[in-house]
Amino acid sequence: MREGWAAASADQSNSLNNLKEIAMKKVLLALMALLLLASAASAATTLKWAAGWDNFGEPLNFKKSKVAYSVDAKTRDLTVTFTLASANPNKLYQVGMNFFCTNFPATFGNYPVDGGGGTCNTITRQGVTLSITALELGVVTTDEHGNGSFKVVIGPIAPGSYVLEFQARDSAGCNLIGGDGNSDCNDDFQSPGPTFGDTTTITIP
Amino acid sequence: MKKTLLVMLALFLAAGAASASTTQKWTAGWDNFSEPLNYTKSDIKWSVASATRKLTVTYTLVGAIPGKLYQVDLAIFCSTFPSTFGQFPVQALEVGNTCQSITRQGVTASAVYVEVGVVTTDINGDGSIAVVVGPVAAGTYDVEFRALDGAGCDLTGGAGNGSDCDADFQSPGPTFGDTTTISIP
Repeated sequence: MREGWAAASADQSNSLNNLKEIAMKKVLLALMALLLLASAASAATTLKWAAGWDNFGEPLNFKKSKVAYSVDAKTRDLTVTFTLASANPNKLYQVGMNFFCTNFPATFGNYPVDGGGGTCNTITRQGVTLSITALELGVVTTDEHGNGSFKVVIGPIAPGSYVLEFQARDSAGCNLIGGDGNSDCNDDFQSPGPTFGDTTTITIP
Repeated sequence: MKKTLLVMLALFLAAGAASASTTQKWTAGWDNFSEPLNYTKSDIKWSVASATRKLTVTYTLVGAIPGKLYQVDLAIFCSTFPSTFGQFPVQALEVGNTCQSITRQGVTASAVYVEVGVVTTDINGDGSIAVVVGPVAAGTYDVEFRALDGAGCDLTGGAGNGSDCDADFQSPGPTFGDTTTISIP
């Protein structure tokens, strides 16, 4: 074999390997970018449930149960996932948010505020008196083990900082059509709690 | 790097397999036929994960009545049936686990019901819920999906077993007993 030919062949082989390496790096970078986008969408704040503020004897595995929420700054959507573990089996728990406020608009994203907004209602729970307005978002239906979850996307939401507690009511129908009406609007679980008025703040940019 | 690339591709392929689903449209009934709904935009998506024997169903209603609860379920057509379907109890079982015979739209058939959740509509009458049922016993199931006229049918904490048990929407329909077959391997 002539030395010149061998050297040229080795150069070509190296160039080909370099091109393959570059192409593979590009594919890898693209895949990593996609993975990063996916993980950014799933980043969430996680809160635990606490008992009350009306009922304090409803069963729940407080360690495994949670509320997770995240804000999409671009679309101004709020995603909330309510999870109950070892609650009463085959039961409906209506879930929503309570805003601590003096006045509130008639809607929050694509959901109506109870009572049509305006002046917030003053109530006393657990010895604490505060003004609130409520938002009904959906229902967690538990299975035969008392487990269930419900995910909702709310938006677009008006920019602002919202001070709130999440809640799970003792049945389904409060301020909505098609359930047991307003006969049982009591709160079984609050988050973050443990006391009425212990809030989390959600900021919509 | 090749190994990393292969792992990442495998992850993407796995994600793709999990999201493959069958889409069905809603039709009116089988009890109520005048409940508003945008039938073009509303649907049901379901898929089966073979490895875990889990059935994922997403019920979507668009243009229904705003601020309303629609309990959703599976009506499974059968002669006899076990007392559970995945982690959910089965309703309308009679003595000896025989399925309940009913007549709707001039058709008589036997079925049981699995109540899996509630769609809550927003100010536009839109809402959806996704539920994962499983592991489901291996078999072939002839199913109609339903959306009921309220929440609480055969469950605790709602309107009980009154008119809220009436079916506003069925899928595939349009007639009681028009089913789709779900196979769990």
